[in-house]
Amino acid sequence: MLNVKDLTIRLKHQAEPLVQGASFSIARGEMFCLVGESGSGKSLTALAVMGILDRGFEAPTGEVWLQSRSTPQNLLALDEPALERIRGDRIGMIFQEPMTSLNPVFTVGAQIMEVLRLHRPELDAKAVRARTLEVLADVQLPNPEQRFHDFPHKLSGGQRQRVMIAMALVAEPELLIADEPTTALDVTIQAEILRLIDRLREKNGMAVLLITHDFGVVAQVGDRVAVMHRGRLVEQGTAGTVVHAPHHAYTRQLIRALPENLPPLPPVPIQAGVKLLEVDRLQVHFPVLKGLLRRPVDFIRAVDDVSFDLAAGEVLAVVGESGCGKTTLGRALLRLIEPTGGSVRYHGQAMETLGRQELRRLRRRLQVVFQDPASSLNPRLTVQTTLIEPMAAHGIGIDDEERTELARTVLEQVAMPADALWRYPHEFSGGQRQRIGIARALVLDPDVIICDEVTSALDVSVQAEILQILGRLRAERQLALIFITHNMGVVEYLSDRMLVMKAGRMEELGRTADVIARPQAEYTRHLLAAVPRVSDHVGRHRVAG
Amino acid sequence: MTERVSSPSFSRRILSEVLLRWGARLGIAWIGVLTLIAVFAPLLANTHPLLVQDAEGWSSPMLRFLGPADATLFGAFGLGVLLLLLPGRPFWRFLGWLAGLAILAAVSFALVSPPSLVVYEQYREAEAQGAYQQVIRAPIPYSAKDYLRDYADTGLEAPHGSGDERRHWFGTDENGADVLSRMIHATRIALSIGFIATGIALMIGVILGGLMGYFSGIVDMLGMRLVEIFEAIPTLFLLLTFVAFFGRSLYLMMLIIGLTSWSGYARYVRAEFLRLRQQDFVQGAIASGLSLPSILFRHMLPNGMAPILVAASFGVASAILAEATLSFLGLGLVDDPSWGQMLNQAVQSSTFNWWLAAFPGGAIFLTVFAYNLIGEALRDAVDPHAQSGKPAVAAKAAG
Amino acid sequence: MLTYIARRLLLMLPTLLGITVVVFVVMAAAPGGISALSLVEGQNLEPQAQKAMEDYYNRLYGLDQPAPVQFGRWLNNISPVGFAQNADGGLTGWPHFKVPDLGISFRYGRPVLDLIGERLPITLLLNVLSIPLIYVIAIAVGVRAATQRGQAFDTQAGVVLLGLWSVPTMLAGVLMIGFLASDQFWQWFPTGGLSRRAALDMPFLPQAEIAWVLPVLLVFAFVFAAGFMAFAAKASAALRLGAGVLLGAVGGYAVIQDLDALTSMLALGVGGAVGALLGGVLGRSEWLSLRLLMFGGAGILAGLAAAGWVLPGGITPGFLLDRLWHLILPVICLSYGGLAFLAKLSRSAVLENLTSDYARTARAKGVSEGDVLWQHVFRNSLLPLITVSATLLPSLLAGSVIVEAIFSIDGMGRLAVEAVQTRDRELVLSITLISGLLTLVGYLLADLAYAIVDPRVSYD
Repeated sequence: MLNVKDLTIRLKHQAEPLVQGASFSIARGEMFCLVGESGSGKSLTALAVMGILDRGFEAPTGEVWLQSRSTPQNLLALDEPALERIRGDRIGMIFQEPMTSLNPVFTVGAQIMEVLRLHRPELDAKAVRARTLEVLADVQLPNPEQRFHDFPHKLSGGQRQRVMIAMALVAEPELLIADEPTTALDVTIQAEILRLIDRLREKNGMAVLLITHDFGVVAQVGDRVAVMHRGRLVEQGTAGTVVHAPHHAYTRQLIRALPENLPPLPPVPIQAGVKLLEVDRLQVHFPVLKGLLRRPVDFIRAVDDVSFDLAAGEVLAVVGESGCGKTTLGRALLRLIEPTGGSVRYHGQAMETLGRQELRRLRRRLQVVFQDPASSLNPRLTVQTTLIEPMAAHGIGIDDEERTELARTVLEQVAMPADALWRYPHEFSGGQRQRIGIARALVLDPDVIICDEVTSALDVSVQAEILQILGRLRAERQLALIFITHNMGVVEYLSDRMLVMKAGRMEELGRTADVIARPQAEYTRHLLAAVPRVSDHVGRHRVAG
Repeated sequence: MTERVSSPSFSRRILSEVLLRWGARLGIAWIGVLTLIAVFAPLLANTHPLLVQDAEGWSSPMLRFLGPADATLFGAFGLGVLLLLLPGRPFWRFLGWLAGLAILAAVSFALVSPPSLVVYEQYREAEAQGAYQQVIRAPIPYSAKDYLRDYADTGLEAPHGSGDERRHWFGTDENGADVLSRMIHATRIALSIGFIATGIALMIGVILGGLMGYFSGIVDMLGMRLVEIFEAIPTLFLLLTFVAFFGRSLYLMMLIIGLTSWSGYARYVRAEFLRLRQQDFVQGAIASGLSLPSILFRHMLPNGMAPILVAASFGVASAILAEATLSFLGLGLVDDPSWGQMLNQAVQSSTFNWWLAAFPGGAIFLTVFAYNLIGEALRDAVDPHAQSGKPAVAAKAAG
Repeated sequence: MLTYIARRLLLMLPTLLGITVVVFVVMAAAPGGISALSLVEGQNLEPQAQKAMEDYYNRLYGLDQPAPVQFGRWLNNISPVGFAQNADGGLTGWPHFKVPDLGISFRYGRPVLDLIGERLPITLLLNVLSIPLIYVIAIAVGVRAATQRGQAFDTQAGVVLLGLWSVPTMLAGVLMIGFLASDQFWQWFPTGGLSRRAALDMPFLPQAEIAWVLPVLLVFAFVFAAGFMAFAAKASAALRLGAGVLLGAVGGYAVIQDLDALTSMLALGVGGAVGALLGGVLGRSEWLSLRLLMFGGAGILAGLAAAGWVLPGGITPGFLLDRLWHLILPVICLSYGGLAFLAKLSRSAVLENLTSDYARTARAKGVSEGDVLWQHVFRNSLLPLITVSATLLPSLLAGSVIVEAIFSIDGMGRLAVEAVQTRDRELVLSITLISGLLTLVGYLLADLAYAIVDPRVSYD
């Protein structure tokens, strides 16, 4: 079906290629997974196959043979008009970001019909419309007739991804390229979309090139796998082999970095009696203003009656999908957003009644680390300034010299070299910046750190490092962590107890091991079932080939 | 003990990024030339000779007639050069320069007092009579207000160079004064109006915008109404009203141009502050218990300055244009030379006096162009998409 | 949506009030304030007569009252609900609906409404002609710069546009009048005003002495233009270069010949050479729209010239053509500044959209690059251009002031300058009100247009 030989991609005016010598082939009807971390070049490979690389790239070298109805064609040797005929017709492609991948000013129906007008000019208007509705039903989009006339912004992320799939499949291509199609979606939707792609593959006899960074996905739906590292394909094979018995060192390293495979954390005695934090029926409601006078007609209940306790040294994971209110909860606990109801007690002292000065003093004990390494550090300040400023504000250390020494020790604890002190944030990678962020939280010697999706933007191997650092710190300092995440593997690895949230409300709260083994709430069961795991039974129900 | 490794700071990086662009280099070069001209105007175009040796010995009429403004500018220039060479954070050096400037101005205005009666013709008469043994003149031997009354029949004249008894490279204006000399002295007004007016507008805009952006609520609502009001009034019209009713003085014009153009900066600062408030590092700073001034001035303001600097550069250009427009409409300064006023004279009489349009008009154009070039270069330097480095492109495209 | 419009209209009121308050405060706080002095001082009267006139004016316009009272009375006059004014100047009766009265201008002695009614259409005409011109050119240049990003056209256009933006309006106007409208150089355009005196007597449309001449003239122009444009579109680069050089040389020669001052063979030769160079560059250019425009224009000129040679009898241009001829220079003067800003904006908008995710999706569907640009990207790029159109109007109104002054056009801008110069209270306040109102309505229209074009935006 698709035979890639020795594909090399470089940027213009750069010697170092971003993809070098990639060779693989995909058979008809096969689900081929291309796995790698960020920067490995997997997306570039896909774009090169389609011929839609950005203008800053030189024309790729190598051969890309597409074998479909007639003679095989080398896509890299075709001219632009020929490629335009193939794109959308014989090869369909879907992308990672459903929120921005659809043109906001055209209706869903119009965008799908455009494909048919381009590639099936023999169809008349009625036939085009009928086929469009048919494919919308195929992707299980509820209410296809109505969605046909809707604009993309009215649809949710999952629905938009379905529309994307519909658009890619409407002309019945032989190859579907899916570039991280589920990464930006919630876990439950992710599962549905993956199942949908798999089913359509079977139904249409399509080949699928699935690009992902998640081995769980590979294990669930993949037939064959190729692993990319820094532009080179380091390993290829069937899904079962690569996932369970990898050859190459890098693949092994990747598999080992999965949370389910990480070495267990050092145990921490939890003093269950000492309650650091008591949260009682916390509420954060935002008013919705409408009408001429902007009166509140309704409330967005971002956090609705959440209660839990936190003991010293304990890790509580707060889990949920996007929009469930977990981030708002984290900010409300710190009074970065003011709660509209309920109470939060720290060591018995109610936080919502504190005055500004007292609150500032208390902030030392409750720290936070954020998700996005790009914006979590002030780009204008050196690391040293970022670290010693909070210390100075709380009177730690006699002078800047001493504080700088303290900062150096903390950096050591997060495995960062001392000379990082004098650098600026933009000189560091994402993982390094997260470690600096953790260091910034640690310099104040807090009792509780709220980790707001701190590893969600990181690669698996970097995530593993951070998790292990957090585990070690927790053991050494008796730190309590509130770990906000949507990644169940991390939850299982790191947390003692877990809190499941949906639409602002608590669905379930209990010890992690118990909740995972015997989930009580319906939603928790649904959530757990949707998570793709490597340990899943890897097997295909059809003959490979 | 940890070693200090020097890393380029954000400002330094932006500066080098800006200087990479030829537009910025040209613009900065031109502004530099203008600054030199403005500072050294008394030495460049002056009817008072620089040095004269007559029967009583050497004397310097130029020094004798040096005004307090001239002295302040000389001092400020020297101070600026000195501070550029000294080490230290740029911000503090700038403040030091401002302080020095204030002191110099106070001292000059108190101590320096040139004679109030100025007779320009005396030097030419004396020289014609042979009273001077040696005389060293400025390159352009005419002052801005020297109307050449000792010559008959002066008025608008096209440029003429050597060969005649009087050399006017750029011609003369309707009163007979030398155009080039007036242009040189008008440089001071152009530059100072640009900077000071924009400075005033920046101050008002940054303070109001910052308050609106940080506090929101009622402060924001009231502030936005104020901004809308000043935006909806046609600026030129408000300027006209101010100037027509309040009379014409240089300082007043600076103040007025500043007062009418602050709304843009306020909008920018407000938008930046609103964006920054949600940024993680600001939330982190609040969560660390840092004080409000520290959050505002150390974390938010430096990160929000970039679009404001770009706007300020364009703002200086438009302040210069505003002054020129007012002068052109006849509402500018009366006696002091100004580029716009000279442009006005180009079409006053029935003939088209092209030298009054080409040269002062050209000066306005070049100066405004220079500031616009600098503004463009700043904008490109700050915008992450337009970086000359490749990493952004590759990072976006790769896996 | 309706509630949104209602809310916006309501919010306009405090802003308008604020604007007039600011302007009034400026007037009142000035040395001399608003008094009858400025009205009487020009005239050489004896002190007694002067005092009598002052009293008269004071009573008529209430100029001796304290400032807040004056403002209050003015507000009362302009609002649709208010008190009536009796002959003595006092207020009587109950508040009732009445026609807003903008007052009487001190200087002209005529109702302000009449004055504005005369002058406003002229200013609006200038601006209404400028806006489409600006947009069309700016979008064309911006789109091309974006698609040719980093290449010659992009950088050159960027510099040229920045240079254009930097030319002060008055300099451009002065140079245009000085070089193109004076008898010292070329006199292709009139020096000012909106019409020749004779034109007021002319019929509206052009007329020829011999009736059939006019349509034939048009046919000539059309045929030549169409032919030239077809040539520009289809001919090879070498042919176009040759044609461009030829046309340019002829044009350059003709231009120099028109100049009385330079008659030497050298000057004619230089003119021809420069023209040839320009013509060659334009002919060779890759940009189709530019070629069509230039060759089409040359075609029209050639057609008209040929027709003028061949056809008998004369033609009176008519009021319309005369008006248009007078408007060309002022409109150019008003437009070129806004060009640069809009072109930069459309360039960045198009660039952003060309590299967006949905453009990538369109390419993946097999849409050709040209269609991606004009069908997908273009409409999205229009959005920031619409929002910015709101701010375009105030700057054009300001530009009108200068342009009207230079070209001696009696529009609102000129009226505004005279009003402040003569401290005409009613006129100043009314002009402030009207221009403020126009600006705010412009903002509202821009926001509504945005809501129409962008389906994501809805105002509830």
